Amino acid sequence: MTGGWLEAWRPGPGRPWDIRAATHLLRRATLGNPRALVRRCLELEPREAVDELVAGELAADNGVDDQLAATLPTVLASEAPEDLAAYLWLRMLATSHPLRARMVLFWHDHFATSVQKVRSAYWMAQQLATFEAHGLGSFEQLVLEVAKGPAMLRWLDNDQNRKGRANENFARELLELFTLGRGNYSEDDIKQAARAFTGWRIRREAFYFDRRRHDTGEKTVFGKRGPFTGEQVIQMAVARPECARFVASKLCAVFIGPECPGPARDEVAELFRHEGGRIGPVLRTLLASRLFFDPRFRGTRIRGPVEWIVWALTSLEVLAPPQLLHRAAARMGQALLAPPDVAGWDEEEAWISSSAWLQRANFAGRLGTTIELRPALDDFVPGRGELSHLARRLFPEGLGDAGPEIARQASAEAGLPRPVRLNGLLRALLMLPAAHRF
Amino acid sequence: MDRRNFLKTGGQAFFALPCLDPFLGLVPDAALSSLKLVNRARDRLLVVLELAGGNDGLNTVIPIEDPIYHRVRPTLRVEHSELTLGDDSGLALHPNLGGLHELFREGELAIVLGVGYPSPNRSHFRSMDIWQSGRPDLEDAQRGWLGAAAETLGRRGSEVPAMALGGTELPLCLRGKIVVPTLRTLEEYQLFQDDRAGKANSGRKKTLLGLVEEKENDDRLARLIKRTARQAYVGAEKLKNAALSYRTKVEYPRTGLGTRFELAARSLSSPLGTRVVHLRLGGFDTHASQRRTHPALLSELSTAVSAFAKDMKVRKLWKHTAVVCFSEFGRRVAENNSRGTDHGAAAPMFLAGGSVNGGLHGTQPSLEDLDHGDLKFAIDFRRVYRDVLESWLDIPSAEILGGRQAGLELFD
Amino acid sequence: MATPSPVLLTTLTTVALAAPTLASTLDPAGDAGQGAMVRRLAVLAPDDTFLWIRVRRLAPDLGRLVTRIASWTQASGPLAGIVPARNLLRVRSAIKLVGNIERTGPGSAIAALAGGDFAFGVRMSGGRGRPFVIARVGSDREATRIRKLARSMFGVVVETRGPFLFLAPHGETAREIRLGLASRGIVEPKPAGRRILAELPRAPIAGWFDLHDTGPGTRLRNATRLANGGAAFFAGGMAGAIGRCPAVMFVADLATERIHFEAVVAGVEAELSPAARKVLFLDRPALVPLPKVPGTVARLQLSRSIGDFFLERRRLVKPRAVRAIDRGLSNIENLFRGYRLETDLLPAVKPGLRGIVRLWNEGDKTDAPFRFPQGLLNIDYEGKSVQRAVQTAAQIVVLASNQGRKRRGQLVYRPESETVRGYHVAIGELARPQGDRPWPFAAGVRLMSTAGKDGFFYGTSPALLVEVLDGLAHTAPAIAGGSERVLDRIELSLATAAKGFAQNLDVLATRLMLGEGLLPSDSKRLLTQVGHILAASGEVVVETALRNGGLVASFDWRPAPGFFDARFATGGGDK
Repeated sequence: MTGGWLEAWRPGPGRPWDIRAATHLLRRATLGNPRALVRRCLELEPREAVDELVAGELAADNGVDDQLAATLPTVLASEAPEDLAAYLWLRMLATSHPLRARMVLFWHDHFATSVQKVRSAYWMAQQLATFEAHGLGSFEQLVLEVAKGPAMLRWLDNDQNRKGRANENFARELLELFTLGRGNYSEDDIKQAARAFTGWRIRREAFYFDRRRHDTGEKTVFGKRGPFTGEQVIQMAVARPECARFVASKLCAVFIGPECPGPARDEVAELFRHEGGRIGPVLRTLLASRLFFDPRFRGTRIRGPVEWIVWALTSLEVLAPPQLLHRAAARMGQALLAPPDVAGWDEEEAWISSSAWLQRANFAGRLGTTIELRPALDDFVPGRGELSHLARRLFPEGLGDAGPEIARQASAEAGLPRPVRLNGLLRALLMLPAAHRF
Repeated sequence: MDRRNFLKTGGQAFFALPCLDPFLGLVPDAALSSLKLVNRARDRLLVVLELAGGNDGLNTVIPIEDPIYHRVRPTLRVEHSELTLGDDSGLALHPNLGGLHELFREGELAIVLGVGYPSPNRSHFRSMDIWQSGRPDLEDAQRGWLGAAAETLGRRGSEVPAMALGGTELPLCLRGKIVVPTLRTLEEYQLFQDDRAGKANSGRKKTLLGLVEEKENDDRLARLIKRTARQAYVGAEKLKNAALSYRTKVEYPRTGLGTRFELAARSLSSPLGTRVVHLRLGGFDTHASQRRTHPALLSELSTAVSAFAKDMKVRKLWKHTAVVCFSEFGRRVAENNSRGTDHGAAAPMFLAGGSVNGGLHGTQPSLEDLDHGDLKFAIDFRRVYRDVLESWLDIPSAEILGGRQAGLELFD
Repeated sequence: MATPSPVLLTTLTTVALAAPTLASTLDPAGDAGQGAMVRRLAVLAPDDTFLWIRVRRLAPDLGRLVTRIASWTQASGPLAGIVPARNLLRVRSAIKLVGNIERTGPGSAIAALAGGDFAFGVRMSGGRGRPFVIARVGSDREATRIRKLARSMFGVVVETRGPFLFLAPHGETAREIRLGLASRGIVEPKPAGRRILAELPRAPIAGWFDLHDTGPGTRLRNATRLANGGAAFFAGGMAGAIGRCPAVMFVADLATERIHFEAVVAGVEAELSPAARKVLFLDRPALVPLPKVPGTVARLQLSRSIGDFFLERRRLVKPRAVRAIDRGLSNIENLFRGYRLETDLLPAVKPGLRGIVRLWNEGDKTDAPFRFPQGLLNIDYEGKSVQRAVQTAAQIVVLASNQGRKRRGQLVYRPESETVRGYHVAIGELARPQGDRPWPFAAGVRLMSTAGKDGFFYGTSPALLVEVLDGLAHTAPAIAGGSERVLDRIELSLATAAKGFAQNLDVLATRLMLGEGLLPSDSKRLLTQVGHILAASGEVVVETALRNGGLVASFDWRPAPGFFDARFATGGGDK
């Protein structure tokens, strides 16, 4: 649409639409790169592939999403957040709409609500369902739905917010962390906005507007004056150009990486406005753009624990006990449903520390004992055959200069029993530096 | 793991690594020097000991000469104790706290009297959250006062600035943005080895290291990842060797807390740069038949701290070490009908260490002027935290504690 | 309660599983003392043997059993999908290997070998336990043929003498044994020798384990120094007594209609300490199990005097465990404000724990869409003085969990009460969740507790309480004395459990999904297969009893007729 960064990427000599490009797309957009999807992408033009990704049509619908969703009431019956977390893991690993699942993770980090304070697995499930239903739709709608969800009402104390005794917690984080970004509003805006959100309560496990507690007086927010309601404040906030810039910078951080140039971000902000604040259409353009496929920005992000584990398992096309995965990711610093605070998880380089690295290495070392690697492996000759088979699933683009090192291990261990060999190879592959960036 | 596995004859300084492991021999010097080795002389070490359940402060630091005490606790009172605290304080330690009393006599134990906070909460969970977060003003704190400190220490160069020892769950006081390992043994901070691979394991370690060898054309991110990875692998190996070469002449008591304090001593002396360690002793919720359990717990506490102090002295680290002891509340002044005590409010805190400003701080709360049957607090616990953070660890405390606190001069 | 230590469990399992015999067949001549039996068996064993298992003319259909197992492990068999493929392959390969001996199929080969007698033993030699095997086949010619086969197929040296075969890992041992036995005139097929063999118990598998030998035997002696309180509670202080007895005798009966193991330790009762006698409440009437009700899945009884165990704890467990128990007592005392456990309450807790689980029935109806099996636990007590304390506790205990539930964001129980059969029952029931919140599992039960003349009850169904109370009213009281006394007993009706399984398949499938990462469809399929197998699995009874002064531990399993010929209707099973 716009000239410049967001122009559609046109493959050509020196910029091929090849395995590298397809895996880059899949990794950033959906976290994993299973071979079937890589193949499917390459059968299409990049633009078509992106369209199908966003529409959830790239992978064949095997009915698994529906199957899993049908178990949710039973999952919630234990009233245990760990079970909901396990369920979320399974949804991410076994979905046929991986982009949508990826966006659920994105919004979970964005709205950073923790079950440790909310305490209700059911309310958290409602919030996740909102992410799934509206995560690729209108941002304004999304913010509105999340704001009125019991989880958010409890998380930021907005259910205590009442006329005469306003609680500013929600209003502050709404502006600072959810819509505008730090510094793009005044303290007065917060105070006044907080009044607009009074009377928002939880009753019978759902949103309830308590007229008696609502402050109907005039408020001045963003220079405008009126008896604003909470809904109106949200509308106003999302309509501000700072919001487009803020959302754009978040999307760029996740899909382009920390090296994304400022002007490119501005173009994305403009795109956001042009598309009426709808995320799906923004992604359709963003993921098919020159900016996205620019080789300078590939491999510039560091995988967080969840991103790393999901990449490994979906690319290997295996499932693993989800409660195990949840605990492992928690030890690595990312417990789903329990972000450290309302700002979400610290990303990129913050994930890489000695302790965290050791946790990853030990997870990788044990993974082979908990999953059944595809039986098709039985057909392969021990050693290089197996290595090549595993490696190609994780790194369809090849191992580069790490190949010989791992191949040496594969050959040296040819005499060990198969499960032991595979375990060792898997760890080596998962602990390649290239496995932790994308 | 039996401690005796690690004993060897002859005294030898901790830092001399046997270096028989071929693994370490493979690491080029450049990698080792890139690790920020710790200057022991400057850095301060901290052990935080949590007494879970609400320790009965009145039977710990006893107003032995106060007739009210003896009257309201007919069966629970300690009739006599030799462990007086100074000549005219009227206070004495419980007879089972001999080890702590020794430290007191040497000026290495500070007892802060009447510690609490306004509007005391008598729920275990709420009050423990308050003590662990340092924020009575926050309804649901997600971050601990030490978690924030650990982040700062990490930025200053500690590879693993804090550890929670002895349990499986990370306590709130250490929660923050960095990964804090929770270990029951130091062996858990090791690279996993598949025993079925037998001799192939050394080859596997070689491979792992080889995969993170820096190359000419590495970009910044690759260098960062590789450097961190090597640091992790080498650090775990150094820890293992350090543990193997560890010798202690000090005999730790064979109790749960004794074992954990020994683990703490090893963690704080490890090459990982750990500065802060959290330990926990449970069982203090003595609503009934307090005599059956409380004295034994105090004994466990005293013997363990005493052994730890001796050990750290031998390692020449005692002057750089502080042990801070807290509980989520004290207990009621009068005993109840079940020969126990119910949840209370203010209680004493202990700080032990070679650089602690020993002695009594503050005044013993009155047994007459009570708050609904509980001791009134005089010193806000955040002031103690402030001293630990600012005077001891040299970390600004205002942001962590939600405001400025006046100091107490608990450290020399 | 703490779980029993692994050592104890292993010991009990070994003792229970390692071939039993019914006491009567052990000593058909009457109570000439188990000592005599031990000596008789020893006659056939070489010197220094401390473990001897004699297998005699295995049930004729054992060969059929082996063939059946082989078919079960086919890739399309009923175990496919439940057991990893590589394990099935291993079992199939092993059976194939055996079949190759005769080249007539594994079943007949086993039957041929099993047609004779053989014994497996371990003896002390040079300070180490050395295993050996003695077999008697049909004829001298057969023995020679097997010797040659073993040599040519496996390169194994087997000694023979007449129809007897001697095998040991080290060739000299086999020779030694052969020569040793020969010198005692046993191996010669003389009339004297034949008579001795004939005197052995008739059960197919019999043997003994000498508790006092050096070497590997010390493992059992170590077990007698139990470390933790939970294990000591379950052993009832018997471990010490067992350690002082000479041997464990065991017998096994493997048929396709019944699998029975039994182990007997003679003379245990005489060795019990007074503390242990109290804990096992031996000087009081025996426990009678809770009456069976329609749909019973399991019944449990544990003859342990909880009160005496706590009072005698210093004599039964290590000091460290005593401290832990003390702390536990303090916590419990919080529930019983005003009473002192040790002086007021514990002495009154009569021995015995009894429990029952039955399938859901209409009496358990709640609004929740669950059909969980329901359970009831009963602990007896005596003395009016404590009745009030226990009744108060009964009222509190149902609501005590609410505090924790609230803190965890879970729905809380609403207190209610009912009076049934003269008992005032405190009930906790979950209210209907508000809005669209799904029903929690906790709504599938109605927590109840009460105390009265039959003791303290805690369970998940007031209706079940009524059924049990009605049953108890018609049960004869226990009779003291008698030479047999059942101590502990677990009775499981697997066939009935299968019904409960089927009633809760969706819930189980979801739990399996969350725990193992299986997709719902795969979970359901797996569980359905398991359910079919369960449905044909009949009943299991595990029991310990005192009989003629000895301790008898037994395991009894009666699968449904045809279990071993089963076609587990999976639509994919063996056809």
